[in-house]
Amino acid sequence: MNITFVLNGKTVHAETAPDENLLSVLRRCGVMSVKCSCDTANCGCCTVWVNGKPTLSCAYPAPRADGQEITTLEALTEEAESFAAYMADEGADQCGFCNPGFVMNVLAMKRELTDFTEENVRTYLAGNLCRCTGFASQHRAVAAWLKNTGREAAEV
Amino acid sequence: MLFSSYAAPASPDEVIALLGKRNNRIAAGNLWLRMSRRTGGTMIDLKNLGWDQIEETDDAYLIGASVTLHMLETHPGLNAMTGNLFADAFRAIVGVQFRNAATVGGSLYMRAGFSDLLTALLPLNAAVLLYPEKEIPLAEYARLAPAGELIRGVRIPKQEVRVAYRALRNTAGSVPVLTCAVAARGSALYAAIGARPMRAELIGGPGEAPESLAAELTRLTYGTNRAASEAYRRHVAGVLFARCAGEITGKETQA
Ligand SMILES: Cc1cc2nc3c(=O)[nH]c(=O)nc-3n(C[C@H](O)[C@H](O)[C@H](O)COP(=O)(O)OP(=O)(O)OC[C@H]3O[C@@H](n4cnc5c(N)ncnc54)[C@H](O)[C@@H]3O)c2cc1C
Ligand code: FES
Ligand code: FES
Repeated sequence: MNITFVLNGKTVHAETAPDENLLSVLRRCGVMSVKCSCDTANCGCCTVWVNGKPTLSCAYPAPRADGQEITTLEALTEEAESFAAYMADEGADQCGFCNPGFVMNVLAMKRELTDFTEENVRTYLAGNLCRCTGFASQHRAVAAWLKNTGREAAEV
Repeated sequence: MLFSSYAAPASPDEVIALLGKRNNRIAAGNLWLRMSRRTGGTMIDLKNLGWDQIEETDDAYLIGASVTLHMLETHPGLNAMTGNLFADAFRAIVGVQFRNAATVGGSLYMRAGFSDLLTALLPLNAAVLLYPEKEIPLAEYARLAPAGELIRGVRIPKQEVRVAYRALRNTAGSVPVLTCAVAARGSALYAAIGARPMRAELIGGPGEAPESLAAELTRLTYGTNRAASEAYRRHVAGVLFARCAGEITGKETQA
Protein backbone atom coordinates (compact mmCIF):
# COMPACT_ATOMS: atom_id res chain seq x y z
CA MET A 1 0.00 0.00 0.00
CA ASN A 2 0.98 3.65 -0.53
CA ILE A 3 1.40 6.18 2.25
CA THR A 4 2.13 9.89 2.17
CA PHE A 5 3.70 11.67 5.09
CA VAL A 6 5.88 14.66 5.91
CA LEU A 7 9.46 13.54 6.49
CA ASN A 8 11.76 16.22 7.88
CA GLY A 9 9.65 18.96 6.34
CA LYS A 10 9.21 17.38 2.91
CA THR A 11 6.19 15.45 1.65
CA VAL A 12 7.16 11.90 0.69
CA HIS A 13 5.28 9.00 -0.84
CA ALA A 14 6.34 5.51 0.14
CA GLU A 15 5.33 1.94 -0.43
CA THR A 16 4.73 -0.18 2.68
CA ALA A 17 3.46 -3.63 3.55
CA PRO A 18 0.34 -3.59 5.79
CA ASP A 19 2.31 -4.98 8.74
CA GLU A 20 5.56 -3.11 8.27
CA ASN A 21 6.99 -0.81 10.91
CA LEU A 22 7.91 2.81 10.33
CA LEU A 23 11.58 2.06 10.98
CA SER A 24 12.09 -0.05 7.87
CA VAL A 25 10.13 2.36 5.68
CA LEU A 26 12.31 5.24 6.88
CA ARG A 27 15.50 3.33 6.15
CA ARG A 28 14.17 2.52 2.67
CA CYS A 29 13.62 6.28 2.26
CA GLY A 30 17.34 6.70 2.90
CA VAL A 31 17.11 7.84 6.51
CA MET A 32 20.07 5.96 7.94
CA SER A 33 20.25 7.62 11.38
CA VAL A 34 17.33 5.44 12.51
CA LYS A 35 18.72 2.23 13.97
CA CYS A 36 17.16 -1.08 14.88
CA SER A 37 18.83 -2.65 17.87
CA CYS A 38 16.52 -4.69 20.12
CA ASP A 39 13.42 -4.80 17.89
CA THR A 40 11.34 -5.45 21.04
CA ALA A 41 10.58 -1.85 22.12
CA ASN A 42 13.22 -1.79 24.84
CA CYS A 43 16.28 0.16 23.72
CA GLY A 44 15.27 3.51 22.19
CA CYS A 45 17.76 3.28 19.28
CA CYS A 46 14.90 3.62 16.80
CA THR A 47 13.50 6.85 18.35
CA VAL A 48 11.95 9.33 15.90
CA TRP A 49 9.39 12.08 16.50
CA VAL A 50 5.84 11.56 15.33
CA ASN A 51 4.11 14.94 15.31
CA GLY A 52 6.84 16.18 17.61
CA LYS A 53 6.62 13.36 20.15
CA PRO A 54 9.48 10.87 20.61
CA THR A 55 8.26 7.41 19.63
CA LEU A 56 9.75 3.98 18.94
CA SER A 57 9.71 3.53 15.16
CA CYS A 58 10.31 -0.24 15.48
CA ALA A 59 6.79 -0.60 16.88
CA TYR A 60 4.96 2.18 15.04
CA PRO A 61 2.83 0.69 12.23
CA ALA A 62 3.98 2.26 8.98
CA PRO A 63 0.45 2.59 7.50
CA ARG A 64 -0.44 4.74 10.53
CA ALA A 65 2.20 7.27 9.46
CA ASP A 66 0.00 8.29 6.52
CA GLY A 67 -0.72 12.00 6.99
CA GLN A 68 1.63 12.38 9.98
CA GLU A 69 4.74 14.47 10.44
CA ILE A 70 7.90 12.44 11.04
CA THR A 71 11.14 14.00 12.23
CA THR A 72 14.52 12.27 12.36
CA LEU A 73 18.00 13.38 13.33
CA GLU A 74 18.67 14.43 9.73
CA ALA A 75 16.39 17.45 10.28
CA LEU A 76 18.10 18.57 13.47
CA THR A 77 21.76 18.57 12.52
CA GLU A 78 22.66 22.01 13.89
CA GLU A 79 21.16 21.42 17.33
CA ALA A 80 22.46 17.85 17.40
CA GLU A 81 25.97 19.00 16.60
CA SER A 82 25.96 21.53 19.42
CA PHE A 83 25.02 18.73 21.82
CA ALA A 84 27.48 16.27 20.22
CA ALA A 85 30.36 18.50 21.28
CA TYR A 86 29.40 17.92 24.94
CA MET A 87 29.17 14.19 24.29
CA ALA A 88 32.65 14.21 22.78
CA ASP A 89 34.07 16.17 25.73
CA GLU A 90 32.77 13.53 28.12
CA GLY A 91 33.78 10.54 26.00
CA ALA A 92 30.09 9.65 25.85
CA ASP A 93 30.10 8.59 22.23
CA GLN A 94 31.78 5.22 21.93
CA CYS A 95 30.55 2.79 19.26
CA GLY A 96 27.89 5.41 18.51
CA PHE A 97 25.11 3.01 17.56
CA CYS A 98 22.76 4.30 20.27
CA ASN A 99 23.60 7.92 19.55
CA PRO A 100 20.89 9.01 17.06
CA GLY A 101 18.06 7.61 19.17
CA PHE A 102 19.56 9.09 22.32
CA VAL A 103 20.00 12.52 20.75
CA MET A 104 16.41 12.50 19.41
CA ASN A 105 15.17 11.88 22.94
CA VAL A 106 17.49 14.46 24.52
CA LEU A 107 16.23 17.13 22.08
CA ALA A 108 12.62 16.09 22.74
CA MET A 109 13.24 16.32 26.47
CA LYS A 110 14.55 19.87 26.11
CA ARG A 111 11.28 20.84 24.44
CA GLU A 112 8.94 19.00 26.80
CA LEU A 113 10.30 19.31 30.34
CA THR A 114 10.03 22.51 32.32
CA ASP A 115 11.99 21.47 35.40
CA PHE A 116 15.35 19.87 34.60
CA THR A 117 16.09 18.16 37.91
CA GLU A 118 18.53 15.26 37.74
CA GLU A 119 15.66 12.88 38.53
CA ASN A 120 13.42 14.28 35.78
CA VAL A 121 16.24 14.11 33.25
CA ARG A 122 17.16 10.54 34.20
CA THR A 123 13.53 9.44 34.05
CA TYR A 124 13.09 11.02 30.64
CA LEU A 125 16.19 9.35 29.23
CA ALA A 126 15.71 5.94 30.88
CA GLY A 127 14.40 4.39 27.68
CA ASN A 128 17.69 4.83 25.82
CA LEU A 129 19.99 1.91 26.43
CA CYS A 130 23.71 2.10 25.71
CA ARG A 131 25.95 -0.94 25.75
CA CYS A 132 29.22 0.99 25.88
CA THR A 133 29.22 4.02 28.14
CA GLY A 134 27.54 2.91 31.36
CA PHE A 135 25.43 6.10 31.09
CA ALA A 136 27.47 8.26 33.50
CA SER A 137 29.34 10.10 30.74
CA GLN A 138 26.11 10.59 28.80
CA HIS A 139 24.45 12.13 31.83
CA ARG A 140 27.41 14.41 32.48
CA ALA A 141 27.22 15.57 28.86
CA VAL A 142 23.48 16.22 29.10
CA ALA A 143 23.87 18.12 32.38
CA ALA A 144 26.65 20.34 30.99
CA TRP A 145 24.74 21.04 27.78
CA LEU A 146 21.50 21.88 29.65
CA LYS A 147 23.39 24.21 31.96
CA ASN A 148 25.08 26.06 29.12
CA THR A 149 21.83 26.41 27.20
CA GLY A 150 20.01 27.85 30.21
CA ARG A 151 17.92 24.80 31.13
CA GLU A 152 18.24 23.99 34.80
CA ALA A 153 16.27 22.65 37.70
CA ALA A 154 13.60 25.09 38.86
CA GLU A 155 14.43 26.91 42.11
CA VAL A 156 12.69 25.42 45.11
CA MET B 1 3.86 -11.90 7.89
CA LEU B 2 1.85 -10.62 10.85
CA PHE B 3 -1.05 -9.10 8.91
CA SER B 4 -2.11 -9.26 5.30
CA SER B 5 -4.12 -6.03 5.31
CA TYR B 6 -4.62 -2.79 7.23
CA ALA B 7 -7.77 -0.80 7.99
CA ALA B 8 -8.38 2.46 9.84
CA PRO B 9 -12.18 2.55 10.10
CA ALA B 10 -14.03 5.83 10.54
CA SER B 11 -16.64 4.41 12.93
CA PRO B 12 -16.68 1.97 15.86
CA ASP B 13 -19.40 -0.05 14.12
CA GLU B 14 -16.95 -0.79 11.31
CA VAL B 15 -14.41 -1.89 13.94
CA ILE B 16 -17.00 -4.25 15.45
CA ALA B 17 -17.71 -5.68 11.99
CA LEU B 18 -13.99 -6.27 11.39
CA LEU B 19 -13.57 -7.87 14.84
CA GLY B 20 -16.16 -10.41 13.74
CA LYS B 21 -13.46 -12.11 11.68
CA ARG B 22 -11.34 -14.36 13.84
CA ASN B 23 -7.92 -13.41 12.58
CA ASN B 24 -8.36 -9.63 12.71
CA ARG B 25 -6.82 -7.65 15.57
CA ILE B 26 -6.78 -4.11 16.88
CA ALA B 27 -3.28 -2.61 16.90
CA ALA B 28 -3.00 0.09 19.55
CA GLY B 29 0.56 0.92 20.63
CA ASN B 30 1.47 -2.31 18.84
CA LEU B 31 4.17 -2.90 21.45
CA TRP B 32 2.84 -6.20 22.70
CA LEU B 33 0.89 -7.24 19.62
CA ARG B 34 3.90 -7.10 17.32
CA MET B 35 5.65 -9.79 19.34
CA SER B 36 2.80 -12.25 18.94
CA ARG B 37 3.11 -15.18 16.57
CA ARG B 38 0.31 -14.73 14.10
CA THR B 39 -0.24 -14.58 10.39
CA GLY B 40 -2.82 -13.01 8.14
CA GLY B 41 -5.93 -11.03 8.95
CA THR B 42 -6.43 -7.30 9.15
CA MET B 43 -4.62 -4.90 11.44
CA ILE B 44 -7.31 -2.57 12.76
CA ASP B 45 -6.14 0.96 13.59
CA LEU B 46 -8.40 3.06 15.84
CA LYS B 47 -6.71 6.33 14.86
CA ASN B 48 -9.78 7.80 13.13
CA LEU B 49 -12.19 7.31 16.05
CA GLY B 50 -11.06 10.30 18.10
CA TRP B 51 -10.56 8.09 21.15
CA ASP B 52 -7.24 9.73 21.97
CA GLN B 53 -8.68 12.40 24.27
CA ILE B 54 -9.04 12.89 28.03
CA GLU B 55 -12.39 14.52 28.64
CA GLU B 56 -13.37 16.16 31.91
CA THR B 57 -17.02 16.14 32.95
CA ASP B 58 -18.66 17.38 36.18
CA ASP B 59 -18.07 14.11 37.95
CA ALA B 60 -15.44 12.15 36.04
CA TYR B 61 -12.45 11.98 33.75
CA LEU B 62 -13.23 10.01 30.60
CA ILE B 63 -10.05 8.52 29.20
CA GLY B 64 -10.23 7.36 25.56
CA ALA B 65 -8.86 3.91 24.74
CA SER B 66 -6.15 5.40 22.49
CA VAL B 67 -4.86 7.77 25.18
CA THR B 68 -1.21 6.94 25.84
CA LEU B 69 0.37 6.27 29.20
CA HIS B 70 2.43 9.44 28.78
CA MET B 71 -0.73 11.54 28.25
CA LEU B 72 -2.16 10.09 31.43
CA GLU B 73 0.97 10.68 33.49
CA THR B 74 1.27 14.33 32.36
CA HIS B 75 -2.41 15.34 32.68
CA PRO B 76 -2.63 18.30 35.06
CA GLY B 77 -6.16 17.55 36.35
CA LEU B 78 -5.46 13.89 37.04
CA ASN B 79 -2.12 14.72 38.63
CA ALA B 80 -3.76 17.30 40.90
CA MET B 81 -6.52 14.88 41.94
CA THR B 82 -4.24 11.91 42.55
CA GLY B 83 -0.99 13.54 43.69
CA ASN B 84 0.84 12.39 40.53
CA LEU B 85 -0.30 8.77 40.86
CA PHE B 86 0.18 7.92 37.20
CA ALA B 87 3.56 9.63 36.99
CA ASP B 88 4.69 7.54 39.98
CA ALA B 89 3.21 4.34 38.53
CA PHE B 90 4.55 4.71 34.98
CA ARG B 91 7.96 6.32 35.55
CA ALA B 92 9.73 2.95 35.30
CA ILE B 93 7.84 1.56 32.29
CA VAL B 94 10.65 1.36 29.73
CA GLY B 95 10.91 5.03 28.67
CA VAL B 96 9.04 8.11 27.46
CA GLN B 97 9.17 7.01 23.80
CA PHE B 98 7.55 3.73 24.82
CA ARG B 99 4.88 5.47 26.91
CA ASN B 100 4.09 7.79 23.99
CA ALA B 101 2.98 4.64 22.20
CA ALA B 102 1.52 2.32 24.87
CA THR B 103 -2.21 2.91 25.25
CA VAL B 104 -4.81 2.61 27.98
CA GLY B 105 -7.02 0.37 25.80
CA GLY B 106 -4.22 -2.01 24.84
CA SER B 107 -2.99 -2.26 28.42
CA LEU B 108 -6.42 -2.97 29.89
CA TYR B 109 -7.36 -5.46 27.20
CA MET B 110 -4.21 -7.48 27.95
CA ARG B 111 -4.97 -7.58 31.70
CA ALA B 112 -1.31 -8.39 32.32
CA GLY B 113 -0.47 -9.46 35.85
CA PHE B 114 2.41 -6.97 35.85
CA SER B 115 0.25 -4.05 34.72
CA ASP B 116 1.11 -0.84 36.56
CA LEU B 117 -1.96 0.77 34.99
CA LEU B 118 -4.37 -1.86 36.30
CA THR B 119 -2.90 -1.60 39.80
CA ALA B 120 -3.06 2.20 39.79
CA LEU B 121 -6.64 2.42 38.48
CA LEU B 122 -8.22 -0.20 40.74
CA PRO B 123 -8.38 1.81 44.01
CA LEU B 124 -9.79 4.82 42.11
CA ASN B 125 -13.02 2.95 41.51
CA ALA B 126 -12.57 3.16 37.74
CA ALA B 127 -14.85 1.55 35.17
CA VAL B 128 -14.08 0.18 31.71
CA LEU B 129 -16.25 1.58 28.90
CA LEU B 130 -16.97 -0.84 26.09
CA TYR B 131 -18.49 -0.34 22.66
CA PRO B 132 -21.41 -1.04 22.07
CA GLU B 133 -22.22 1.02 25.14
CA LYS B 134 -21.52 -0.93 28.31
CA GLU B 135 -19.81 0.01 31.56
CA ILE B 136 -18.07 -2.58 33.73
CA PRO B 137 -16.40 -1.87 37.10
CA LEU B 138 -12.67 -2.36 36.55
CA ALA B 139 -12.34 -4.84 39.44
CA GLU B 140 -14.88 -7.03 37.66
CA TYR B 141 -13.40 -6.50 34.18
CA ALA B 142 -9.95 -7.49 35.45
CA ARG B 143 -11.27 -10.92 36.38
CA LEU B 144 -12.73 -11.63 32.91
CA ALA B 145 -10.76 -13.33 30.16
CA PRO B 146 -10.10 -11.27 26.98
CA ALA B 147 -12.95 -12.06 24.57
CA GLY B 148 -12.47 -9.79 21.58
CA GLU B 149 -14.49 -6.94 23.08
CA LEU B 150 -13.89 -3.34 21.96
CA ILE B 151 -12.69 -0.97 24.68
CA ARG B 152 -13.76 2.63 24.14
CA GLY B 153 -12.18 4.04 27.27
CA VAL B 154 -12.09 4.27 31.04
CA ARG B 155 -14.07 6.39 33.48
CA ILE B 156 -12.28 7.68 36.56
CA PRO B 157 -14.75 9.29 38.96
CA LYS B 158 -13.72 12.65 40.39
CA GLN B 159 -12.98 12.14 44.06
CA GLU B 160 -11.19 13.39 47.09
CA VAL B 161 -8.53 10.79 47.49
CA ARG B 162 -5.08 10.32 48.94
CA VAL B 163 -3.27 7.67 46.99
CA ALA B 164 0.26 6.28 46.87
CA TYR B 165 2.01 3.88 44.50
CA ARG B 166 5.05 1.64 44.85
CA ALA B 167 6.42 -1.15 42.67
CA LEU B 168 9.50 -3.31 42.88
CA ARG B 169 11.56 -4.24 39.82
CA ASN B 170 14.57 -6.54 39.73
CA THR B 171 16.27 -4.25 37.20
CA ALA B 172 15.41 -0.79 35.89
CA GLY B 173 13.06 -0.98 32.93
CA SER B 174 11.97 -4.57 33.49
CA VAL B 175 8.41 -5.54 34.40
CA PRO B 176 7.61 -5.25 38.11
CA VAL B 177 7.74 -8.27 40.43
CA LEU B 178 5.20 -6.63 42.74
CA THR B 179 2.93 -3.58 42.39
CA CYS B 180 0.99 -1.81 45.13
CA ALA B 181 -1.43 1.11 45.16
CA VAL B 182 -3.12 2.31 48.35
CA ALA B 183 -5.96 4.84 48.45
CA ALA B 184 -7.85 6.55 51.25
CA ARG B 185 -11.26 7.96 50.32
CA GLY B 186 -13.28 9.36 53.24
CA SER B 187 -13.25 6.62 55.89
CA ALA B 188 -12.51 3.92 53.32
CA LEU B 189 -9.10 2.42 52.69
CA TYR B 190 -8.21 0.30 49.64
CA ALA B 191 -5.17 -1.53 48.35
CA ALA B 192 -4.50 -3.05 44.94
CA ILE B 193 -1.72 -5.61 44.77
CA GLY B 194 -0.51 -6.81 41.38
CA ALA B 195 2.29 -8.74 39.68
CA ARG B 196 1.87 -11.45 42.33
CA PRO B 197 2.46 -12.48 39.44
CA MET B 198 -1.30 -12.74 38.96
CA ARG B 199 -3.44 -9.77 37.92
CA ALA B 200 -3.95 -7.00 40.45
CA GLU B 201 -6.69 -7.50 43.02
CA LEU B 202 -8.49 -4.87 45.04
CA ILE B 203 -9.04 -5.32 48.77
CA GLY B 204 -10.36 -3.06 51.52
CA GLY B 205 -13.45 -0.93 51.96
CA PRO B 206 -15.22 1.53 54.30
CA GLY B 207 -13.88 1.63 57.84
CA GLU B 208 -10.89 -0.54 57.00
CA ALA B 209 -7.83 0.04 59.19
CA PRO B 210 -4.27 -0.16 57.78
CA GLU B 211 -3.49 -2.99 60.20
CA SER B 212 -6.38 -5.18 59.03
CA LEU B 213 -5.59 -4.48 55.35
CA ALA B 214 -1.95 -5.41 55.98
CA ALA B 215 -3.13 -8.73 57.43
CA GLU B 216 -5.56 -9.28 54.57
CA LEU B 217 -3.00 -8.78 51.85
CA THR B 218 -0.81 -11.56 53.21
CA ARG B 219 -3.75 -13.91 52.53
CA LEU B 220 -3.88 -13.09 48.79
CA THR B 221 -2.50 -15.68 46.39
CA TYR B 222 1.13 -15.16 45.39
CA GLY B 223 3.16 -17.21 42.94
CA THR B 224 6.67 -18.06 41.85
CA ASN B 225 8.14 -17.36 38.43
CA ARG B 226 11.60 -16.65 37.07
CA ALA B 227 11.57 -13.13 38.50
CA ALA B 228 10.71 -13.85 42.14
CA SER B 229 9.40 -16.48 44.55
CA GLU B 230 6.02 -16.63 46.20
CA ALA B 231 7.45 -16.00 49.67
CA TYR B 232 9.48 -13.03 48.47
CA ARG B 233 6.46 -11.48 46.78
CA ARG B 234 4.30 -11.92 49.89
CA HIS B 235 6.96 -10.21 51.97
CA VAL B 236 7.49 -7.39 49.47
CA ALA B 237 3.72 -6.81 49.30
CA GLY B 238 3.70 -6.09 53.04
CA VAL B 239 6.66 -3.74 52.77
CA LEU B 240 5.28 -1.77 49.80
CA PHE B 241 1.85 -1.57 51.44
CA ALA B 242 3.36 -0.20 54.65
CA ARG B 243 5.30 2.44 52.69
CA CYS B 244 2.24 3.48 50.68
CA ALA B 245 0.03 3.55 53.77
CA GLY B 246 2.67 5.54 55.61
CA GLU B 247 2.80 8.03 52.76
CA ILE B 248 -0.93 8.68 52.75
CA THR B 249 -1.60 8.62 56.49
CA GLY B 250 1.65 10.25 57.46
CA LYS B 251 2.42 7.52 59.96
CA GLU B 252 4.12 4.15 59.72
CA THR B 253 2.19 0.91 60.04
CA GLN B 254 3.60 -2.49 60.88
CA ALA B 255 5.08 -4.30 57.86
C1 LIG C 1 9.10 -4.52 26.34
C2 LIG C 1 7.84 -4.23 27.11
C3 LIG C 1 7.93 -3.87 28.46
C4 LIG C 1 6.77 -3.59 29.19
N1 LIG C 1 6.88 -3.21 30.51
C5 LIG C 1 5.77 -2.92 31.22
C6 LIG C 1 5.84 -2.51 32.60
O1 LIG C 1 6.91 -2.44 33.20
N2 LIG C 1 4.67 -2.22 33.25
C7 LIG C 1 3.46 -2.29 32.62
O2 LIG C 1 2.46 -2.00 33.25
N3 LIG C 1 3.36 -2.65 31.34
C8 LIG C 1 4.47 -2.98 30.62
N4 LIG C 1 4.35 -3.38 29.31
C9 LIG C 1 3.01 -3.41 28.70
C10 LIG C 1 2.71 -2.08 28.01
O3 LIG C 1 2.69 -1.02 28.95
C11 LIG C 1 1.34 -2.08 27.32
O4 LIG C 1 0.38 -2.39 28.25
C12 LIG C 1 1.26 -3.09 26.21
O5 LIG C 1 2.29 -2.86 25.31
C13 LIG C 1 -0.09 -3.04 25.49
O6 LIG C 1 -0.38 -1.75 25.05
P1 LIG C 1 -0.39 -1.37 23.51
O7 LIG C 1 -1.07 -0.05 23.39
O8 LIG C 1 0.97 -1.50 22.96
O9 LIG C 1 -1.36 -2.49 22.90
P2 LIG C 1 -1.15 -3.51 21.66
O10 LIG C 1 0.11 -4.26 21.81
O11 LIG C 1 -1.37 -2.78 20.39
O12 LIG C 1 -2.40 -4.46 21.91
C14 LIG C 1 -2.43 -5.37 22.98
C15 LIG C 1 -3.72 -6.20 22.89
O13 LIG C 1 -4.86 -5.39 23.16
C16 LIG C 1 -5.77 -5.41 22.04
N5 LIG C 1 -6.35 -4.06 22.00
C17 LIG C 1 -5.68 -2.89 21.84
N6 LIG C 1 -6.52 -1.83 21.94
C18 LIG C 1 -7.76 -2.35 22.15
C19 LIG C 1 -9.07 -1.77 22.35
N7 LIG C 1 -9.27 -0.43 22.35
N8 LIG C 1 -10.11 -2.61 22.57
C20 LIG C 1 -9.92 -3.97 22.59
N9 LIG C 1 -8.73 -4.57 22.40
C21 LIG C 1 -7.66 -3.77 22.20
C22 LIG C 1 -4.92 -5.79 20.85
O14 LIG C 1 -5.69 -6.37 19.82
C23 LIG C 1 -3.95 -6.78 21.48
O15 LIG C 1 -4.56 -8.03 21.63
C24 LIG C 1 5.49 -3.69 28.57
C25 LIG C 1 5.41 -4.08 27.21
C26 LIG C 1 6.56 -4.34 26.47
C27 LIG C 1 6.43 -4.73 25.03
S1 FES D 1 14.84 -1.07 18.16
FE1 FES D 1 13.06 0.02 18.78
S2 FES D 1 13.28 0.09 20.91
FE2 FES D 1 14.97 -1.13 20.32
S1 FES E 1 27.97 4.10 22.47
FE1 FES E 1 27.83 2.02 21.95
S2 FES E 1 25.78 1.52 22.47
FE2 FES E 1 26.00 3.51 23.19
